[in-house]
Amino acid sequence: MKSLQNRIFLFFVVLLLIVQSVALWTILSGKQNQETLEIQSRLATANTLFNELFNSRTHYLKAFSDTAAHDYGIKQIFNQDTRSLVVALNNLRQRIDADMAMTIDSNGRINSQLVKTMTGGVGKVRKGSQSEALFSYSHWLDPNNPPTELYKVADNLYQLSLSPIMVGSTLLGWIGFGYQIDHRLAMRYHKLTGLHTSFILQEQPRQQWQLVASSSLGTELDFVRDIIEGKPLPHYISQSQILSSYDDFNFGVAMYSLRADLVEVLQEQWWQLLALIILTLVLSLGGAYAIAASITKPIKQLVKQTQKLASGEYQQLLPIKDQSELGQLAEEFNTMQSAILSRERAIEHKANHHPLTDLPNRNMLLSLLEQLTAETESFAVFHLNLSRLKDVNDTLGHEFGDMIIKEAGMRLSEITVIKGVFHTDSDEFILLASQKSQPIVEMLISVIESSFSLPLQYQGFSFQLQARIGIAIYPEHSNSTSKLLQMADTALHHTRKKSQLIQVYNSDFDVNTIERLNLINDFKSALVQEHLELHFQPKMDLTSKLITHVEALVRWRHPKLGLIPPDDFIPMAEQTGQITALTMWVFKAAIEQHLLWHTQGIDLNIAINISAQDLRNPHFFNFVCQYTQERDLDPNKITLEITESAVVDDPTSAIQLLNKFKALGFTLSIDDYGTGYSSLAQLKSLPVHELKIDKSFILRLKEDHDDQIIVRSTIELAHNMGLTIVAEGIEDEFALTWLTEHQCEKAQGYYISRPLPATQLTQWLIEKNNYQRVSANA
Amino acid sequence: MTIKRCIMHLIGFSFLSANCYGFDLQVKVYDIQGNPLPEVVVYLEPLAGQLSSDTKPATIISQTEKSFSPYIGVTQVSTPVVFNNRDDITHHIYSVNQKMPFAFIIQPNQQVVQTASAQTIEIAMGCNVHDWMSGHLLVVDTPYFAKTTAQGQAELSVEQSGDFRLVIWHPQLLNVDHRQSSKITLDTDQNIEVHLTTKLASIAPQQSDDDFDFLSEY
Repeated sequence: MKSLQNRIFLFFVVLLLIVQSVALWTILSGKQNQETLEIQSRLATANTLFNELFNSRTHYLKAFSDTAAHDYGIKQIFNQDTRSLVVALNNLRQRIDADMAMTIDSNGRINSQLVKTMTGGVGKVRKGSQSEALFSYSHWLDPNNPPTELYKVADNLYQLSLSPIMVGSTLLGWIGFGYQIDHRLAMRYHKLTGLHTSFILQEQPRQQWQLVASSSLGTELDFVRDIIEGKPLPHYISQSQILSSYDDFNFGVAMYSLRADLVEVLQEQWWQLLALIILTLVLSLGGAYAIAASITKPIKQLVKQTQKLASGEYQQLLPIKDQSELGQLAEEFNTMQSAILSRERAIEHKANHHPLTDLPNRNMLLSLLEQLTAETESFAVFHLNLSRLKDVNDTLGHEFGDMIIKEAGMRLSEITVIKGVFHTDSDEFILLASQKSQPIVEMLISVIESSFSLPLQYQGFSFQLQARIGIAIYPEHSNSTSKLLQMADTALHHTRKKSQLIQVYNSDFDVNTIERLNLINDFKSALVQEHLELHFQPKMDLTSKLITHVEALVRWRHPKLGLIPPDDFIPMAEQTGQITALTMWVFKAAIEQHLLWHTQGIDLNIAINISAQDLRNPHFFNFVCQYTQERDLDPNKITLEITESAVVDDPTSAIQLLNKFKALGFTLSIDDYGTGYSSLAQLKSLPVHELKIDKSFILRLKEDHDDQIIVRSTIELAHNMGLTIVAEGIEDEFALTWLTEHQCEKAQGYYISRPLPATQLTQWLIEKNNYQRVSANA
Repeated sequence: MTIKRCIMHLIGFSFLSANCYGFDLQVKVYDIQGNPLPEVVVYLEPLAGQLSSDTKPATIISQTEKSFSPYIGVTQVSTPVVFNNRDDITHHIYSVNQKMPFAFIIQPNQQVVQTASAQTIEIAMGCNVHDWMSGHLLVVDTPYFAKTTAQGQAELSVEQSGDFRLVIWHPQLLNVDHRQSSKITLDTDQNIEVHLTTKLASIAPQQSDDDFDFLSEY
C-alpha cells in the first residue's frame, strides 16, 4: 500500500476532495445566500408591487373623481331629479369600471349611490345601501383636503376617493368612486407576486379582526392575523403591513408563501449541481487513478528491470516509449545496464584469463575439464613448464621473461590440433588435446617441439624455447579432473627429477608424490629425532694422492622409507624454510666428525654446502662464528661450498658475507661451476679460494673433446686468478689421470669413493692408508 | 333669400304646375352582400336646378330609452329640427359641428327646436351625461330625400324631369363623405336598384353596458 502509485492516487484523492469540498461549501453557502436573497427579493418586490398597485388605484380614483367633479354635465343635473343623476353617475362610474360610485349633496346626504356587484362573473349595478342616508364621516368632507380613504358599504370594503363639486367657490356636493378590496384584488396580487395575499380589517382599535378577502380558499383569520402581528411561522415566508386610516380603521395586508414552494426551483437546481459535483468527482478520481498508473508504470518497469539486473539478467533492455524524465531515466538505465554488462564481461574475462598472455586460465580449464570429463571421449592433459625461465628472469630481466611466456603462449595457441591452451601459472601452461591413441600424443609432442624450435630473438640475444611436459590421459589415468591435473603435474615433476623433457604419467609416480607430502611433515621431526646422518665423499689431492678433504653430504634415514636421497628433501627443506636449520645441523655434525677424526689422527678438511637462503639469513654467520669458537676449531679446516646461483641472487650482500667468512679463515668454494650464469666479472670479485667444476663437464671427459677444452681453460683461468680447482664426477681412471696431468688440484668421484658414512670412511682410509695425518704440531 | 332666387322659384313652380303629374322614383338599396339595406338616406340632387317649391315638414329626433330615435335623421336646409325627450331623465344633447353647433339640457317630456343649417352638412350628436348615446343628422339642400324601409326601399316623388344625382348616405358607409352617388335622368317613373360598393362600419349600440335595474330602485 506504500507504492508510489497509491501515494500519487491518494494525493489526488485528498486534493480533489479538498477542492470539491471547497466548491461544495461555496455552492452550499451560495445556495443559502441565494435562497435568502431570493426570498428577500421576492418579499421586497411583493411589498413594492402591493404599494404601487394600491396607491395607483387610489391615485386613479382620485384623478377620476376630480375630473368627474369638474364635469359640467354632472353639475347641471346634480340638483335635478335623482334618476337623471344616477344614470349620469353610472355613466361616469362606467368610464373607470368603478365598483362603487356615490354623490353627496351639500347637506351631507348621500343623494345617489351605486354599487356594482359581481354575481357569477356578471356585474350588476345596484342602488347602494346608504342611499338617502347621511354620510357617516362628515368630518372627511373638507373641500381643501378631499378624502381618499377606505370605506365600507354594507360588508364590502372600498378604496374611496371623494371630490368636491364646486360652482365657483360654492360647494354643490361631492362625487366619489371606489374600487372594492376583494378576492379579485387578492388574486391579482397572487398572480403578480406568486404570494398568497389576504386582507383583514379591524374597524375599531382592539376590536376583532375580520377577514376581508384572500387569494386562497379556506384561509383562516388567525393565520393571517399571526402574519400581520409578526408572529414567526415555520415553513412560511411572509411580509405584511397595516394601513391605518384616520378613522381608526386598521387594514392589514399579509402576503405569504410556503418556503418550500419558493425554493422548489432552487432545490431542483441544487440537486442537479450536486449530481454534477459527484459526477465530476468520480470522473476526476478515475482520471487521477489513470494518471497515477501511467506515471508509475515506467517506474514499475524499472523496478522489475532492476530486479532482473540484480539477478544477473542483462540481455533485455527496457523499451523506451516516452520522452519524459522517466523515458530519460529508462535510457540512462539501459546505458548503465550495458556498462555493467561490459564491465562484468571484462571482469569475467580477467577472472578467466591470464593477464600476461590473455589465454584462458585455470578457471576456464576447470570448467572445460568438467565438460570433457562428462563425455566419454578420451583426451590428454599436457602440463607444460617452460625451462630456465627463472634464470632468464634473474639474468635478462622479467621483461624478457614475460616476452618468452607470451611467445610460448602464442605459439602454443597456434597449434590447431589442441583443444585448448591454458596459462595457469607464470611459466606453466596446460594443453588439452583429444586423444584416441598414444601416437597422437607423440605427434603432439613433436608438434610442440617443432613449434618451439625457432629461437626467440631479443636485443640480439637468441633464446631457445624449451619446455618440460607432463602428460595425463583421460579416462585412462583418471576420471577426475583434479586428479588428472595432479597426475600431469606429477609427470612434469618427474621430468625434473629425471632430467627428461617429456613424461607420460605412470601410476608408480604416485607413491613418491604421496611420500613427498608426508616427508614435508616428517622432515621437521627428522631434524629433532636424529634421523639425519652425514655421509662423506673424499676428495683426493692429485699431487700427493692423499685424501685431504671430504664433502659432507646429508642423508635422511626415514624410519619407514629408509634412506631418502638429498635431491628429494633438500628442495623440500628450501621450500619449507628449514634449510638453514638443516645446514646448521650439518655444520655441527661435520665439526663433531672432524674433531673425532682429529682424535684418531686423521686430518680431513670438511666441505659443507651452503644454500642461498643461508647466505640471506643474518643468524647463520653468527652461528658459524659462535660454534667454531665454542668448539675451538680452526676455520681453515672447513670449506664452505656455495653454488653460483646462490651468489647471483644478491651478489653484493653475498660477497660481503663471503668476505667475512674468508676473513675468519674459512675456505670458500664455488660449487657446480659452469652450470650457472655467473660472469667472469662476478667471479673476479668473489672472495673464494677454489672452483668446483660441475660433474657434467667431467663425466664424459674421456669422450668429449670440448669438455676437455672447457675443463682445461677453467683450470687455467682459476690458476691465473689464484684459485684452486676441484673436479667432481670422476668415474674412471682417464679422468683422474687427465686432471692430474692438467694440474687440477683435487678430484672427487665414484672412481675414488662413493659418499660413505663416517665409520666406513674411516675404515676405508685406514685400509688404503692414504689419508692426511694430523700434523704433530697441530 | 334673394329676389333672383324667388323668381327662380316662381318659374319652377309654374313649370311644375304645367306638369303636375310628376314622377315616382323607387330606389332599392342593397349592401355589399346583396341584402336589402334599411335605414339609409337616399336623396336626389337636381343637376339643372329643377327644385321643388315644396318644403318638407320639421324633422323630429326623439330621446327614447336613453338613445337617439331615430338614429339617423335627415332634413332639408333651414328647416326646424325638433328634439323631443320622451325619457324620464334629463339629457344634455350637443353638436360640436361649427356649421350647426348646439348644446342644450332637455328635461323629460320637454321639446327643444333647432334650425337646420342653410347648407348641406352632416352632424354627429351626443349626450353629455350618457356616453353611449349617439345620433346623426343629415342636412340636404333638396326636398327629394327619404330613408329606406326595412326592405331597403325608398320612394321619392320628383315634380320635374331632368338630370339628378342619386346619392346614398349613411354615417357608417366607408366611402368618401359616407356617400355613394350616381347620375340619373328622370322623365318617367323609375325603379332603381343601388348596390353599395363599400361596406358599412358597425353601428355602436346606443345602450349602456349595465342594465338599468338600479333605476327601478330610484
